[in-house]
Amino acid sequence: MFTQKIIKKIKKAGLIGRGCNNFSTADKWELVRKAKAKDEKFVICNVSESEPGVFKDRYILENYPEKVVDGIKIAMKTIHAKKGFIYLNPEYYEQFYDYLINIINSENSNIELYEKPLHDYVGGEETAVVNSMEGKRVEPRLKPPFPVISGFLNEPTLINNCETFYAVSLINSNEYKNTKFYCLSGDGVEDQVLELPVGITVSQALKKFNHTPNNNFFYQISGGASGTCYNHKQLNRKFSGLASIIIYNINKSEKDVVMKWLDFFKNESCGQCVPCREGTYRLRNIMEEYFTTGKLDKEVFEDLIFSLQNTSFCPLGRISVNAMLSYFKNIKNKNLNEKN
Amino acid sequence: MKKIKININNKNYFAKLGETILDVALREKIEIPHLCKHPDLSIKANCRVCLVEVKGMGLVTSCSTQVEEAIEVFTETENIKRARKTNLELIFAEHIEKCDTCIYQNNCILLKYAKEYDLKISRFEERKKHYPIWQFSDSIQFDSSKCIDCRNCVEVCEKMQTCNFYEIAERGVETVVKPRGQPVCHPELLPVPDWNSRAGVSESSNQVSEMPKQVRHDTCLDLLNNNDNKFDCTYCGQCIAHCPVGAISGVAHWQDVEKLLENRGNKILIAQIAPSIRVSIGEEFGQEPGKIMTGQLAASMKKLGFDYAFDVSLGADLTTYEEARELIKWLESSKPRPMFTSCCPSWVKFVEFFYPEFISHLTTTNSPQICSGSIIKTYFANILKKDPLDIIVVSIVPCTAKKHEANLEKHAKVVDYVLTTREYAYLLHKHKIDLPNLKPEDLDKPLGIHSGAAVIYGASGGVMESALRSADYFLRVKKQTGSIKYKKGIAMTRIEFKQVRGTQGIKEATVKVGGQKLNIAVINELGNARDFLEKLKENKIKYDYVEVMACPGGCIGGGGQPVPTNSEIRAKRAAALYKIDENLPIRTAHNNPVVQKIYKKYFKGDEELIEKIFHSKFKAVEKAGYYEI
Repeated sequence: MFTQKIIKKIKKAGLIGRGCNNFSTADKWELVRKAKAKDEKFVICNVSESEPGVFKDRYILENYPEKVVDGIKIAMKTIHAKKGFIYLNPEYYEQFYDYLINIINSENSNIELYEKPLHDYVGGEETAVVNSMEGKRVEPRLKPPFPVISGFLNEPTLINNCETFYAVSLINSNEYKNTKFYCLSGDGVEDQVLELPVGITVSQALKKFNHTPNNNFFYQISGGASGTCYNHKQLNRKFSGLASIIIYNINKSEKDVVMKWLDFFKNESCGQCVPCREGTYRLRNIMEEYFTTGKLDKEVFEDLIFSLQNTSFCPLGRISVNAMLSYFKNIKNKNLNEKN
Repeated sequence: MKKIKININNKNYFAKLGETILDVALREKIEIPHLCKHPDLSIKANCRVCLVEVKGMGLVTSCSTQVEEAIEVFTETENIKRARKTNLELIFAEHIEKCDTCIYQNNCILLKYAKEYDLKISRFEERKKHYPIWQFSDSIQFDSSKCIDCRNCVEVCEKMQTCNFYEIAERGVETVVKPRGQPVCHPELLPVPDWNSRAGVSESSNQVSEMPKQVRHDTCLDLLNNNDNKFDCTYCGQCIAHCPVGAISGVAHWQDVEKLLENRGNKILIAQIAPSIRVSIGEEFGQEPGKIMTGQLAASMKKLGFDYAFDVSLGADLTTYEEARELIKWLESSKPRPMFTSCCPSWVKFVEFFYPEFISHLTTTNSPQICSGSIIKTYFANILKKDPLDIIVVSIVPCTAKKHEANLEKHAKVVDYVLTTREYAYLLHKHKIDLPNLKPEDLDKPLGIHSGAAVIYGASGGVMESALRSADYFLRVKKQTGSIKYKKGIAMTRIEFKQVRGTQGIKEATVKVGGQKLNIAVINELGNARDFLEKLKENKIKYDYVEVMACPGGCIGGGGQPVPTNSEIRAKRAAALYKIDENLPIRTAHNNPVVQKIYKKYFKGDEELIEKIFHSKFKAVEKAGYYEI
C-alpha cells in the first residue's frame, strides 16, 4: 500500500524535519495518519522562513518548486488529506505566487497559497501557523494537543518545513542522496546556499563555501537570532537544527551585536507569557544601560535569563538569550552569566 | 475515572487521569501561587507563576501539566523559588499600585504573594504609568495601568458572554488589552471626556477629586475610533469578577454615599439590599460562601448611618406580582412568544444592542431595585410626608449593570446610588464595622418585608419560579373572578418548581400552571442566551416564558459579587437562598402583606398608575460611550 510504503521509505532515509524541531518526519506522518479526523485532515507546508541568516526555502522555491508541490501531494495522499496549504511569508507570497499557482493548477491539486499576515518570527512556530491561518492572534498555542492531533480547525494537521517536502519528493522518486541545504551569510561574504551531505561539521561546510576559519571572525551557527556563537577553533561540530552559518567580523562592536539580538527578541515576542513579554524587554533595557554605563546588576541579569530559559511558554523565549550568552562565553570570554 | 498515584513533595496522593498538577495540589491544600488560572476559564498558562518541578521535566506550569502515573512533583525547590519570584516581580512591575484607595486592599492577591514570596517589588521600574483608564458608559472602569495581561477578561467576555468587547492588540511588551476598536494609547487624539455626576472614579482608583462633574456622558464618544457597531459592553461585570488583580471595577459610588452619610443635610438616607448579597457578603469578611447575613446587614446599614434599612426583595415581590399579571395578559394576547424577563439590566442591554428584534418580547415590568425605589419615592415618601427629592435611595447589589440601569433617564433617579457587594463591604471595612460580629437586627418596616419568592431572585431560575408561583395563583383567581387582582381565599398555590433550579446554562421544562401548560426556559450567561436567540430566530424552538440572567448562576455569580468566584462558591450561595425561601412563612409575592397593602391602599386599582410606576419601555441602543480618563 502506498501509504505504508512511503512512510517506510522516509523512515529508512532517516529524514529529520528541516525546520528547527529535529523531529523524525516518518514518525510525524505516522501520527497524523493514525489520528482520527472529525471531518478532514490538512497538510501545511511551512515557508515562514523568518530566522535571520536562513534563506534556503527561498532557494528551494526558486529552483525546485515542483518538487515541493510534489512532496505536499504525497503527504496529502499519505495522510488522506483533501486539502493542502503553502504558508508563505508576505515577501515570498508576492515573489512566488504566480509561479506556484501555475504549478498547482497545471497539476490540478487542491493546494491553496496562504499569505502570512506579518513577516514575524514566532509566526513560524507550528501552532502559531495554525492560529494565523484561523485568523487568530499569531502566537503559539498550549501544547498538548499537538497539531498532529488537533491543528488547523482542530483537525489533525501535518505541518512540515518546505525543505522537508522537497526531500520527501526525492525519497519517493528514489533520487534522495541524504543531502540538505546549507546557508552562508555575513561579513565579507555573499549570501550562498549549497546542497551538501547531512551531518557534516561546520568546518567541512565552510570549506565547501571556500571560507577558511580564522581569528578575524566569529561564527553564529543555526540561525542569526537563536543560533550559538563559536570562535574559529570551535567549528569542528555538527549543526543542530537549521544549517546556517553567519560570519561576523571579530571587531564588530559588542554593543551592536548584542543589542541587535536583544532588540530582535523583544520585538518578536508575541506578548503572551510573562517571562518573554516582560523579560526580553527588561533584559534589553539593563543591557543597554550596561553598554552605556558599564554597570550591571548581575543578580537581575541572571534571574531574567533563568526565567526566560526555564519558564517561557514557547521556544522563542527559551532560546532568546542563547546567542548573547554564547557570544560572551565563546567570543568575549566574559563571565557575565552563569555557565550553560 | 481511572485513579493514579502521584507524588508531591515526597508524599503520595491519588489523582484522576486528566487532572492537572494544580488541580490536585489545590484539592490537597498544597499552596501553589497562580494568577491567570481561573476555574471558569480555559487554561492559558501565561502568567508562569504556578511553577513546579517535575522529575525529568524540569520546571513546568502546574496549571497546564496533566498528572501521569508516578510522577514526582516538587513545589518549593530553589529553582522554583527563583523563577517564581522573578516572574512575580515582572508582573508586579506591570501593575501600578494604587492601594490607598483600592477596594481590593483587604483582599489583594498580589500583595499577598509579595509578602509570602519576599518579592522585591521595586526591582523593575513600573512600566504602565501612562496607561489609560477606560470607562464603559456609567458602569465599569478598566484601569489598564493595573492590567497584568492575563487575558481573563478577554476570554470571559468572548466565550462566556459572546460580547467580544475586549481585544488584545499589539505584540510583545507593547501588548495591550483594551476596548475593541479603540485606539491603543494616543492620549493626544482623544477628546476631553464628558462626565455625568458619577463617572470618574473606579471602585479602586483615586481619580475622584479632579473630575469635572454634572455633565452627561453620551455625547463624547463617537468622536473616538468607533469603527463599527458590532461590539458593546453590557456591563455584566464578569471581567471584574475574573480579573485577578482588580484592574477592572465598577464605577464607584461609595465616595458620594460616604459624603452623604457624613453630611446629609435634610436628606433621608435609605439603603436597600438585593436578595443575593445576604449570602455572599460574608466572604469579604472571611466567612464561608452561603453564610446568611441578613440580620447583620440590617444592623450594618444602621450603624453606617442609614435612616432606613430596606430590602430590594420587596421590590422583587412587586416585580413578581406585576410580571405574573403581565404574563397572563401576554398569554391571552397575540403578542409574540416567548415573553422574556427583563430584570437583568445586562441582558436587557444585550437585547437592545445585539438583538433589537426581540425588544418586543421583553416584559415591561421594572426590575426589583427600580420597583422598590419607585415605591420608596412615592408610597413611602407619602408616609414620611417628604419630598421625594429629599430621599436618597442607595441599592446594595451584586451587579455593575444596575449602576447603568439606575442612571437611565426613564427611571428618573428612583435609585440614586448603586453600590456593589464589594463596595459596600469596603465601606464597612473602612468604617471598622466588623459585619460578622454585629448583633443581627430586623430590616425596617414596611419595605423590609418580603417573601421567599423574592429571595430566590438571586439564583438563576428564581425569577421564573417566583413568577410561576404567582401566575399559578392569578390564573386560578381569574377562573373564579375573571380578573387578575389579588383575592382572599383562593386555594393553595403550587410553590416549588424545582425543574428551573440549578446552574446549568439552559434549563428547559414544561410546567403546569393554573391548569395551563407552559413551555419555559431558564438561561444564564449571555453566550447561552445568544445561542437560544439564534435558535429562536430560526423558529426552531417554541417557548412561552423565558428567564435570562447574564451572569453564571444568576445574581449570585454577579459582576459585583466578592472575588474570587467559581461554580462551587456560586452553588453554595444559591443553596443558601433556597434555604431562606424554605424557612420563610410567606413564600409567594402575592401573599406579601406589604405588596397587598400597596396595591390596595396606594394604587386602589388604578391600572394607569401601576403602569406608570412599575413598567417601562425599551429601545434599540447604539453603541454607548467608552472613553479614556
